Amino acid sequence: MIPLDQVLLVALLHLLVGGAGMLMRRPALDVLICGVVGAAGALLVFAAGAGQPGAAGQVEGLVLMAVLVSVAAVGGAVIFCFHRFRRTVVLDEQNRLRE
Amino acid sequence: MRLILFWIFAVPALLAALLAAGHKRPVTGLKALMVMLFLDALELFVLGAPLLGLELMVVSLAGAAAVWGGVARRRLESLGAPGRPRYTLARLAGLLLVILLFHRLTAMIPGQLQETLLGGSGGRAVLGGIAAGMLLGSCAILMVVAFRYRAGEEGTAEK
Repeated sequence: MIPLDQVLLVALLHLLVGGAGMLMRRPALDVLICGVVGAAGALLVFAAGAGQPGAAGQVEGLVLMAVLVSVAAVGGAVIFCFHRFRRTVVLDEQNRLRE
Repeated sequence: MRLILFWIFAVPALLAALLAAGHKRPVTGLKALMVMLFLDALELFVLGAPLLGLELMVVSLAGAAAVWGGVARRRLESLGAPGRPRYTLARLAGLLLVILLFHRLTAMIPGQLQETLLGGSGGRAVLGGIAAGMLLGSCAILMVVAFRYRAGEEGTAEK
């Protein structure tokens, strides 16, 4: 049996890396990648809680992962469509959306 | 033993996460992200959640195929690199290893599924599977539609 605190530590490190990347990186694709890194930590927490009594199980984790993949796919498609007409999408230039 | 195995997968996953978040080239970041998701899937297997692990493994392999097909292969084509496929022994060995790993991991699924269905959460499991299938199917259609067209000139997309 793996101690829960060690799984939570790994999940927290995932979240920290993803959060720091989201705050420091400016290209939109990098921010999306960092968001997926952070959200992968939540999956670890779900998996750690799957065996615990009263915790959310694998079914909830399946739905969460499907939502995560869908959000990442939609975000990637939007960034790709922007990138097709303009060059790399940078979040500091978000006022382009008003044009 | 499981704890050692967990950290064997966790440390490279964290390094891959750092690489994905910090590398300046987005393609390298995407590749590192796929590696991280694959290692996380192995961690989920070690944690005793094979359903989640298998789904994440499928997602990471699909992502790797999309990155290869959509980015790397197109770049090689644009560079005019020779495209003759070479089926080397290493590739065949790698394919065999992936098949063996997939077979070994999916062998854990029926017992887990039976436990979930007989454990009183059968309805939730079916509903969760349907919801996950609908979401993944709809985003697969979205990806096909978004990446099918090539960029035209002056903002017009063409086939």
